[in-house]
Amino acid sequence: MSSPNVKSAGGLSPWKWLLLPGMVAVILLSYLWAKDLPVFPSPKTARIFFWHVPMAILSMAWFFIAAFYSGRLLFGKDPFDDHRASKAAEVGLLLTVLATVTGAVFSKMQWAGGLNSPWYEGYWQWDPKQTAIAIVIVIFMAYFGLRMSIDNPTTRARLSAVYAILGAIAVPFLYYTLPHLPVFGTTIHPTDVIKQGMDSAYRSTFWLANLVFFGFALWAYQLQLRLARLAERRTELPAGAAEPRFEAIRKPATEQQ
Amino acid sequence: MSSPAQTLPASRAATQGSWWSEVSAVLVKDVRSELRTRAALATILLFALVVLLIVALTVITEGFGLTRELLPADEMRQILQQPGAKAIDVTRATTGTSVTRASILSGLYWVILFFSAMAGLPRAFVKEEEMRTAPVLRLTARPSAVFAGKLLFNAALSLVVTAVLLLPFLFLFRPIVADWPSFLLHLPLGAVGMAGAATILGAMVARAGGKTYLMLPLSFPILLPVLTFAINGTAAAISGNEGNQLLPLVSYVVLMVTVSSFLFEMVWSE
Repeated sequence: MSSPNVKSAGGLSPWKWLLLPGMVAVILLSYLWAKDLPVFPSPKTARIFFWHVPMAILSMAWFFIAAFYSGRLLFGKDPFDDHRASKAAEVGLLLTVLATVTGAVFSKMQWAGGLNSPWYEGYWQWDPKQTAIAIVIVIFMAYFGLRMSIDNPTTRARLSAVYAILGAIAVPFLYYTLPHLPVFGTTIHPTDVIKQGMDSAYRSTFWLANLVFFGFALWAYQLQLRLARLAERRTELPAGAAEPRFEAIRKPATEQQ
Repeated sequence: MSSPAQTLPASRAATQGSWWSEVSAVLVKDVRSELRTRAALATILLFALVVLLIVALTVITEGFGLTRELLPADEMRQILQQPGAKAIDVTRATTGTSVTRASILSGLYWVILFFSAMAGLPRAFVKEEEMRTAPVLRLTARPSAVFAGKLLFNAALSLVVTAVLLLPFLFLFRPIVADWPSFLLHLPLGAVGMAGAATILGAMVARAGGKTYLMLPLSFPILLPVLTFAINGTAAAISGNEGNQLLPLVSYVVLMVTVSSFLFEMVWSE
């Protein structure tokens, strides 16, 4: 099967060229245009907001993309959906880790007195959202652990797809049910910032950051899929072509005759 | 031309009754083979009893802040002014069990049960793959009937474990339970919930070459809601506070079992 989706290394799509100026614009706007928001305990150091929140939103998005392709693999007919799901989960794991790390820095600067506290303190607050994202990381790791321990590609595709769907059902429960339990307490995340706390400059920069990071994540995802397609094409034998392995066996036989 | 019924083996024709007969056949077969070897039950119970003993011997669950608290300041002053007063004299046993102690006991109980269940529950499927009986089961019963049968077996196993574990737990830790009906509802429902959410994971572990060490990381995120509801509910029952978690527990488990029953065929069939 020829794969028209494998493009030559010719040139980048135009929107990928926009990512570099987009990234520069996000950095410049977040420091120069967006004024300090008094909602944050330490408004000057709150600029990591433009990195942390898009990462958290996108990690959930890629997680559900992985679950969607897992469902399509199970109930549809395209075996390549296995790669679509697992590569989405890889991008999702990367974004989740980034969201956790940026969130830890954010937490130290905002909730723990910033640089006035000892260097080892303040990164982890047992906030419900921190707890939930730690659990999501474990789901991803269990998913890849399951994939690594199965050799047969068909079984691996099926089982990991089932697991991704089970995880996708557990995640909304973790996000919305566990925070209501008494042991978790209330979140200290400023949940109203995204809804109404931002002025127009903050909001525009925030959505631009969302767009740019989505672009980068999509690009990484496309590259991963292209790698997977090339790896599959390498194992497939081209139709009608001589098979090199068998020729190597046949040759000495003809020489003997 | 032979009709399909004639080409079927005798066993298939005999069990080709209703769905319920297949379910009960799988369940009865599993119970019988379990009674013969007691492999899964022994795994879970020995694990649970050993860990229960270790925890009971080493973790302090009684004492200051757990079952004793300080007297008011003026009473303390009066006692300490008397000659020969000891530090223990300024404390008194709390009337019930403190909330801290209730959470510790409930957490210990469910962590013990979780780890022992994860060691034993995948046996129901791993056994079939190890004994090479899985293909026969695939031929003779519908996937949904296999799932239901194994689910019922795992639930029964969890109930037995809960019943056996309850007495040593009460004996060793002496929880002063404020709300017995709620306590006695949370324990079996949580155990059955664990079995319900973990049954499909056991099938996945069996298909992944019987690597039982996979069960623990796989089950953690899926079972975490069950565990959280069970731990909080049991703690509330012991301390007598509000915080009944039966409804969210049951609804999550019903959701998980429903989805698992839809997905089971993908895991089970070749």
